[in-house]
Amino acid sequence: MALVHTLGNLLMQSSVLSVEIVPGGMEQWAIGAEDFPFLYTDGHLGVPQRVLYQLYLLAIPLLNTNRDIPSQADASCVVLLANPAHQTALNTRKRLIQSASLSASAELAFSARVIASSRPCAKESIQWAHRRWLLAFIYPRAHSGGVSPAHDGDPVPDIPPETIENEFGLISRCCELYPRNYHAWSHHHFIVECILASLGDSHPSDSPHLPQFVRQIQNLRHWIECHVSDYSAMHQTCNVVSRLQSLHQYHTVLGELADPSYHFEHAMSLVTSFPGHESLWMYLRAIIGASPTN
Amino acid sequence: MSTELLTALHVQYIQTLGKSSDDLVYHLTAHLRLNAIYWGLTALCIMGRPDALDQDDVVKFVMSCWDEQAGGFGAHPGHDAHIHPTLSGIQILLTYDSLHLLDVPRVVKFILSLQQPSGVFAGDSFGEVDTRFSYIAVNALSLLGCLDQLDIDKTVDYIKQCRNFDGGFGNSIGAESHSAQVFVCVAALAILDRLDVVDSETLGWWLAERQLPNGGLNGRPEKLADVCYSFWVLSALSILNKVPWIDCDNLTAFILSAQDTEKGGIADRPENVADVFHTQFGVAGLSILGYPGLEDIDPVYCMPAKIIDAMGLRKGWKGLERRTALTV
Amino acid sequence: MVKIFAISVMQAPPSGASTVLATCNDLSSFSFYQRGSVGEFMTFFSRTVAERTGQGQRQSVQENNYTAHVYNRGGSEQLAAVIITDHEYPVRPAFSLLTKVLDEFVEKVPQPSWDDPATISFPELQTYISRYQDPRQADTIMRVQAELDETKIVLHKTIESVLQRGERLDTLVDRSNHLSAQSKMFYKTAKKQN
Ligand SMILES: CC(C)=CCC/C(C)=C/CC/C(C)=C/CC/C(C)=C/COP(=O)(O)OP(=O)(O)O
Repeated sequence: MALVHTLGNLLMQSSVLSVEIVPGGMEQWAIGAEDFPFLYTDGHLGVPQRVLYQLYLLAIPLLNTNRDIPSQADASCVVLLANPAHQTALNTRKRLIQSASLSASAELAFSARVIASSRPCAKESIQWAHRRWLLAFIYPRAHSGGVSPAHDGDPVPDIPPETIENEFGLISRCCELYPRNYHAWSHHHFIVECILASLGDSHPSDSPHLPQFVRQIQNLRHWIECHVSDYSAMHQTCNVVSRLQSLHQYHTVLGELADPSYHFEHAMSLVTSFPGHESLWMYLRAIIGASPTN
Repeated sequence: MSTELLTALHVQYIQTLGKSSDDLVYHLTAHLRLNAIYWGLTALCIMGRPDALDQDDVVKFVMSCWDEQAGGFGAHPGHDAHIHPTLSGIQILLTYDSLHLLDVPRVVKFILSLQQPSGVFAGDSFGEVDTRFSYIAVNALSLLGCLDQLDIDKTVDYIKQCRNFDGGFGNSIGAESHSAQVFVCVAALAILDRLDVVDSETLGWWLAERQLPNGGLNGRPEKLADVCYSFWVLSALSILNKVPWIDCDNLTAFILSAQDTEKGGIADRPENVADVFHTQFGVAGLSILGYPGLEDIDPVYCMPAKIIDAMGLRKGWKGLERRTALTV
Repeated sequence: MVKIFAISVMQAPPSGASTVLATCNDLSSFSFYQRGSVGEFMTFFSRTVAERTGQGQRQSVQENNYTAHVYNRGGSEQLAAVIITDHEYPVRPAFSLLTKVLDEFVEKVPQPSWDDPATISFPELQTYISRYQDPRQADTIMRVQAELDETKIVLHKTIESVLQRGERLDTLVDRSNHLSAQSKMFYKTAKKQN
């Protein structure tokens, strides 16, 4: 039981840069310490899978029966690392945040560690939804501007540029970990909507979101060049391209990025280089659809 | 590998599931327990063995998942209510003709409370939104005879905005088309008699393009085939009356090749470990393909057609004619 | 993904074990505790296929998520080069890169030093592995090298098809003393993941 708390604590530490589940048990990794059956080097935490499953079995009853805050917090951490789709564990954490027993920004960092910890975590829709809930909780938009039609008619959160950069970083890591990651790309869509809402709120010249947005569009194009079967990325690029059309006030800054034919040529040149990829043909079809002349 | 459906073995496989409630796998899948029971039970019904589980035990378990505070079912006793296990609970009770045990007005209230201003549904009060949940809400309300309490226009409007240029639908506005999301959107529209929203020619093409050379279907371009898409794609095609647009024999062979010929059950693809989810959707796919000896599945509600027909809820869908013998 | 994970140059005598002369990895996409094992596995995979590629032969061999492209140039030098990519990296640029790497190796690294690989310095591999992550870069060299006939390159869908009768990859992995116990464990879980 003490180990559930040890692991729960570790997972919340800001000094932990990455978490991963490594195969096997203590013996295979020559871990001697019974009271610390984990790997920890330079901020990288490795949890042997068999150890994790033993702790999971201890954490489940703790989560169900023990109502004290530290137990709930630590047990839910452990449960989520082993089983990222555990809705009740995620809800438990949201309730702890609502009652101010858990810091929302620490939770945002913890959630990033868990999402990037394994393939099943990286692709889990409810994990990404948990992040959006946290972002909305931490960064509520002050006024009712910036309503995104895609997100319930509620104002999307007003996320500062550094946090947005983290989200993009997390998304790409998770798309490497689990390629064609549907829910990570949906999250990308959400973040772009947040940027667009902020751009709509502020004045063209002083928005720090603008250079960030420009960089992100360039990153998307580069991503596609390195991931020629990632239709999810192409689909999202087309979304962005079609949204660009409405940003007239920024067209001088956006330059060629605001020109649909620039993106059409991108798709065209990739199809020529890699004609065997269904995704690229779809990209070409979609980019034509995303152009206003159509 | 087998070229025949090993019905008896699959029945046995489903019967033994969940018997070992103290092992790790049981606890790792607890958040899907009620769904899993619905999948297993439906597969049994399609294989002609609706009696293969202990009805009293199952019904008792379903009722023990009730979340009194929220007014819906959780996936497992002690879990928070969620719209998905709530539908599973309703489907299981209905299959066992035990709906009288349910506090229908409360469940309806719970479901309706999850609709968002945009028209989409959330999974629970914390608000993950997805067209999956819209379908689940529509399906459940229809089964409970309470569709009249739903704001249908708003519901349809959100789904309509999830339509992409390729005719497919995503899980939210702006999201990529995905076969499973196509199923949930098309089936919800079918229940709401709003198939006019579907561009059925374009979508039919996109769905047919999901078939790979190995006969299996994938969920989106350049991904691996997976047995569960046999149902998601076929059900959508059957609602659009276009099942023959894919190579049905080849798909049948693919599903059969994913069977575990020793322990029973069907996996996502050949050589992988079987699970009850893929067993159900493999068997359901075979049913739509007219595989001999199986009962009809209603592709709109994903329940035994007999039950849906008896309730007068059948929509216009068309699978392949049931074959009388294996003559491929 | 279009990605190069490793390039190596080795000496592969017609019979017997190969020797790695120079090698370079890009394992940045792997997690911290996986990297060491993936690196070992890349070398193991490279050697295994190089040893099973006849002199003068070019072939591509898939295993799990990786494709190894091998060119055994043979001759008196008995040099071979292997590049490990993901499945999406196109074949033609991969082989044109191998030719270029071998030419340059012979030119830059004096033959006497091959007997002691520890003394070899061939930093060009680092440059190649980063520059040619975009295969369209490599393809431009290719246009000049018309002699490469793509149709003659055999693609093996599994490594089993280049192994000798009776050989199995699992057994080779088990027996290898170049792979640590942890690497063997990662290999087994990676197989299950697909
Ligand atoms: C009553 C019935 C039958 C169902 C309820 C309705 C539900 C929950 C349907 C869910 C269908 C489903 C499998 C949705 C998953 C959608 C999705 C975006 C999957 C992406 O996940 P990956 O694991 O990447 O799968 P692919 O690689 O095959 O695309």
